Amino acid sequence: MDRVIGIDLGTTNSCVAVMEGDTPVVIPNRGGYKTTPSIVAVTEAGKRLVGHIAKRQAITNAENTVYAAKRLIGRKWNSPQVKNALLTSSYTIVEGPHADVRIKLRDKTYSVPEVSSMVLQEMKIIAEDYLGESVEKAVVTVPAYFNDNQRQATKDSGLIAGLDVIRIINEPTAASLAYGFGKGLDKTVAVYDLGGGTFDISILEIGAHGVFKVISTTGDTFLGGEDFDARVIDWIVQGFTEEHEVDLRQDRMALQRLRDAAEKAKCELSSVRETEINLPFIISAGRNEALHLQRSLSRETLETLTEDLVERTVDICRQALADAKLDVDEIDDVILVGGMTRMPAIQKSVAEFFERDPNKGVHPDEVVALGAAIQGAALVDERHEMILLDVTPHALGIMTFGSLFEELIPQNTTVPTSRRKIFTTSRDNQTAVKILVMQGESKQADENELLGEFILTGLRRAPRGEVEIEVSFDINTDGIVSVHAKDLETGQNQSIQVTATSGLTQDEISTMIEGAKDYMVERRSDEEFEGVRQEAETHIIEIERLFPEVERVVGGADFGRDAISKARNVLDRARKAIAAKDKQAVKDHLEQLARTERMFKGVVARSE
Amino acid sequence: MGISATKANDRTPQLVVGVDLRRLPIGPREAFVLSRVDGSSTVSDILLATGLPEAEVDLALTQLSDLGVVSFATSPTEPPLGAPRPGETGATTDARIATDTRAAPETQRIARPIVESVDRASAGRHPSAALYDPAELDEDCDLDLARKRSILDLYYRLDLVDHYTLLDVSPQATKQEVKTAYFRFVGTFHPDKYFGKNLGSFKVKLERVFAHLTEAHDTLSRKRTRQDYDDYLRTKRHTKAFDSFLSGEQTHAAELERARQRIFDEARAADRSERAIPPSPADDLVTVEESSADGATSHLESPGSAGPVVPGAAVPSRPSQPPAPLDPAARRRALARKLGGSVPPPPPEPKPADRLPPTASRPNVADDLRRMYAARISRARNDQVQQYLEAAEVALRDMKPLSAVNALRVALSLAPDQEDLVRRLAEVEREANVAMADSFLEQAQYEEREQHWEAAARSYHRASLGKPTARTHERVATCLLKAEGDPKLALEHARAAVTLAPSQASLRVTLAQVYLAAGMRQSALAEFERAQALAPQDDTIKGWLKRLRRNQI
Repeated sequence: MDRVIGIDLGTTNSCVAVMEGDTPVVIPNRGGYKTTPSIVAVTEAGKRLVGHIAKRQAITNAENTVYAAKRLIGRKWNSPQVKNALLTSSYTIVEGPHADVRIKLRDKTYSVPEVSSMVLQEMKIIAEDYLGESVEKAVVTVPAYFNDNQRQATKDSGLIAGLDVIRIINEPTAASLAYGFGKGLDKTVAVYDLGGGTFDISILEIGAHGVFKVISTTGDTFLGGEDFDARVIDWIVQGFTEEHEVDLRQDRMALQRLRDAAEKAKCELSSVRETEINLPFIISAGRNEALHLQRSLSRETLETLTEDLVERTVDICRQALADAKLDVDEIDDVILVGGMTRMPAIQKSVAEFFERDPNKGVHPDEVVALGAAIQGAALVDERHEMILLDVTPHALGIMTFGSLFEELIPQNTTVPTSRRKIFTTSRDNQTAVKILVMQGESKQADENELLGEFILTGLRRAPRGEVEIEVSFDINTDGIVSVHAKDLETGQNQSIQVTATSGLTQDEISTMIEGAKDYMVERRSDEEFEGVRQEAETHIIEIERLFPEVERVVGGADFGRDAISKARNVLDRARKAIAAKDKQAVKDHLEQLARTERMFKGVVARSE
Repeated sequence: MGISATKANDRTPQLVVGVDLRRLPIGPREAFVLSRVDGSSTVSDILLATGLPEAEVDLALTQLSDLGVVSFATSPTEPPLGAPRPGETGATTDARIATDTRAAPETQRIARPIVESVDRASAGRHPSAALYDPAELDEDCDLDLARKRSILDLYYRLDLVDHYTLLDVSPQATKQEVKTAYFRFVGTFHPDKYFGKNLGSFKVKLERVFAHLTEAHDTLSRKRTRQDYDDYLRTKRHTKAFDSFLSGEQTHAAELERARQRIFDEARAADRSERAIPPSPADDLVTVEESSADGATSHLESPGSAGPVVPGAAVPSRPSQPPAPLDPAARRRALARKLGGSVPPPPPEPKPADRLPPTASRPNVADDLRRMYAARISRARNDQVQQYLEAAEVALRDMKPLSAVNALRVALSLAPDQEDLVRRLAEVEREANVAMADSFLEQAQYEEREQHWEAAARSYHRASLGKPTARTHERVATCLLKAEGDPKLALEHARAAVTLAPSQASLRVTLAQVYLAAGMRQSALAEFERAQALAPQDDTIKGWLKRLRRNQI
C-alpha cells in the first residue's frame, strides 16, 4: 500500500506527518524540529537552500531569500496582494509572461508554484528520510478560503516537487480530523485558524461512522500573523523616525532585521509581559557611523496595536455561525490552530465570543499536518472509518448580461454536487453565448474571481430571450469544477473542466468582459416576473388604445397636455422596467398604470 | 412530436376512452379514419377499409394520436388502460377526461412519469430489481455485487421516494436522527469510500446518490426548509389522495366491495332472523362468520349475477370486514322507508318471498328462494345507498369533499339509475375541485420551480378544474409544451386562457405556440396575428410572425 504523507504548507512554517498504524505522527526534520520554515534561498554559488538553513542566512542574503510565497500563489500580477508584496518584500517580484507573478533569485526567475515546490520537496525528503522509503503521494492543505486558482496552483507545486497531490483539503478541516479522529465523538466544533497569512473559521459536525461534515467555512485571506508583525514594525519604524529622523523602510536589510525582530517580540509576548527589541547597527548614519535600535515592547502595547485585527477575526466567527445557522451555545468545542492563537489576547477574545475555553488538547502548529495524514490514509486504506464532507468555500456561477454574477452553487454546499439553471440569449439573433465561469460572493461579476470561459455556438437566430441554454455545474470530490452548457433546442452542448487560468490581469479580464458583451446570456425571467409583466402589459395596451381618443378630447387644454405627458412618462418608465426585466420596478409601476388607465377611461367615457 | 418512429403497418391503433370527439380540432379525413379505428384493425386493415393513400392515413393517424384520441398499444392483445368502469355514465365532470387521458398509453410522454411516481412511490421501501436492468450488475469494475446492488437500488429510486423514505427515517425524526441516518448512508455512499478505484458508470451514479442524500439531509435538518418541504409533501399527499379519489380506482373499488359484502351479509342476516334468531347486532356478525363457512358461495352467486342492478359484481372472495357499526334494525327500516321515495322498489313482491322459507316442500322453491334473496338484497342495497348518502352529507359538512365524492361514487355504483345522485356527484366533485385548487396551485408552483414540467402541467391542470383562471390555464399549456405532453390538453387550456382574457397578447402567444406544436400552422399564424394586433410593439411576436411567414419554422 502506498504511503500518503500529509503536508501543511504554511505561510511561515510547514509541517509533514504520516500515519503510523492508527496514529498520525509528525515527522521531525534533520534538525529535530517538527516544523520547517517555508523559506527558500539561492546562495551566491547558486546553491538552493530550504527551511531553517535558508532562514538563518536570510539577513545576509535578503534579496535572494523568499518567504511567504503562499501569499502570492495563484495570484495575478495586478492584484492588490501582489502590489502590497512588491512594496514590502526584500526579494524581487517581476511580472511573468502571462501577467502572472515571478520571483527573481540571482539570475533566474521562478514562478510561485516553483518556489512552493521547493518547500514541498523538502517536506517530501524529510518524510522519506524518516520512513526509509520513497514517497509519491500527499494530501496538502490550503486555507479554507483559498479560491480554485490558488488550489490549482498549490496542486501544481506538488507536481513540480514530484508529488501526486491526491487531495487538497482545508486547514481547519484537517485540524478537526486530527482532533476527532478515532474518538467516536458526536459534537459540533468550531476551528479558529489564524495562520501566518490567512484567517479561517470552520464549523463542523463530527458524528457516527467517522463522518466529519463541514457546515460552514469562511475567512479572510488577507489577515494573518504577518499583519500583526506589520503593526509592530510600523510602531518601531515610527518611533525610530521620531527619534532619528531616518526611515528604516528604505533599507532592505534593516527591514528584514526588523521583520525578524518584530515576529520574535510578538511570539515572546505570548509568554512574557514585556520584551526588548535590540538591533544594533540597524542603519548607517553617514561615514563610519551607525544607529542602534533599542526599544522595549509590552504585551499591553502589542494588544492595543492589534486590537482591531483580533476584533476582525471575531466578526468573521460571528459570520460563520450565522452561515451555519447555529447559536454560540450549540458549539461543543473550539479548536485553536496556527501559531498566532498562542497570543493571550486572541485566546481571551475567542473564549469570550464562544463562551467557553478553547480546547487545549491539540498542538496549533502540528494539528493541520496530522489531519492531512489522516485524510491521506483514509482515502487509500479502507480500514480507516473516516469520511470528510467538505463544502465549497465560495459560491460558483456565471456572468450574465449587465456584468452581473448569477450564482449556481451557493457557498457552503457539500461536495460532490451539481446544479443547473436555464438562461436565455440577451439580444436578437444571437447565435453564440459565452459562458464565463466565476467564483465569489459579489453580485457584480467583475468583483469575483474568473475561473474559465468557453463559447457555445450554433444557436438558432431568434429574438432575444427565446433560445434557452441550460448551464450545469458539477463539483466532484477532488473539488474540480466542470461546467456544461446545452442549447435546449438543438441539444448541442459544450463543456469545460475548469482549471487554473493562472495569471490573467484585471485589465485582461475587463477587456474580456467588454468583448464578451455580445455573447452574454441573460437570466431567464422568472415566474413571478411573467405575472407582473402580463399585468403591466394589459394596462399598457389599454392605455395605448385610448391614447388617440384622449388626445383628441383633452389635448387642447393645458391640464390635458400635462396629463398626457405624465401618462407618456408612466408608459415609458413601465416599458423600461419591463425591458430591464426588473420585477420590482414593474411591480412599482402597476399602480400608476392602473390609475392612468382609469383616468383615460373616464375621459373617454365623459366625452361620449 | 408524433409517433412516426414506428412505421410498421401492423400496428393496431386503439381508441382512447373518454375523449370528447366533437371538440377535436380535426377534419373530415381524420374523422373518417377515426371511424375505422376499432381496437382490432391494424393500420393495414384501415388502409383497406378507407381506400385512402397510405400517406394520408398515416398523417391522419399521427395527428389523431398527437391529439390523444388514438393510441398504439405495444402489443395488440393488451387491453387499453382506462377502460370504462361499470355503472359509470358519461355525465361526470371534465375531471374524467383528464383521468382517462392520463391513463391512456398514447400520452405516455406526460402520463408515464406521473403514473410511475404515483404508483411506485407507494412501493417506497421495497427496493426492487425490476427498476433496472440486471445486466447493469455485470459491469466490470472494482465493486462487489452487493455494493453494486445497493448503489443501483438507491439510484433508481431517487426520483420516486421522498426525503424521509430515502434516509429511512420517520417524518417525526429529530434533527439528530436525520443526521445519524445521513452519516450512516455517507459511510457507504460517499465517493471517497472508493477512492482510486475504477467505478465505471457507477461513479456518476454514486455521486448522484450522494448528492440526493445530502439534499435530503440538508433540507430536513433546517427548520425552514424542512417546513417548506413538509408543506409540499402534505400538499402532494393531499392532492394525490384527491387524484386517486377522482380516478376512483382503489379506494372506491375497495369501498364498493365492502358495501356489496355488507349487502349480502345483511340479506343473509335477515334470512337467519326469519328463522327466529334474535336480530341483535352482535349476532349479526356471528351469523355472517358462520354461514360463510358452509357452501355459502353458491348461494350468494345466484342473486349476485342475476340481479340486474349490480352488473358484473365481483363476488367477495374473502369474508368481509365487519360492516361499519351496524345500526339497530329499527333505524334500518326507517332508512329504507325514506329511501323508498327515490329508489323504485325491486320488482318481486317482498311479502311472499318473506313468507317462503317455512313452506319448503313446494316444487318451485328454488325460484321463490331466489326471489326472496333478490328482495332482501335490494332492500339491503337501498339501506347501504342511504348510508353512503348520509355519510356524504356529513363529510360535506365537515369540509371533507373528498370523502363525500368517494361516498357518492359508491352510492352511485350501487344505484346507477338515480339521476339526482348523478347530479349530486357532479356537484360535489366540482366543490371538491374548488376546495383542492389552491393545494394544486401550490404544488404546481413548487414543481415548476424544480422544472418538473410533466408534474407541474398535471397539477396546474387540476388547479384549473377548481379555479379556472386565464393564468392557470396558460400555465398548463406552457408546462405541457415544455414537457412535450398531450397537445390536445394543451390546446384546450390555451384556448380556455384566451377565452377568459381575450385582450392579453401573451396568452395568445402561448396558444399560437401550442398550435405550432400540434402542427397547425395556419391557426398558429392567425393567432400570432391577433396577438400582434393586441401588442404591436412586441418584438417576440414580430419575430415569430416573420419566421412563420418565411417558413423558417
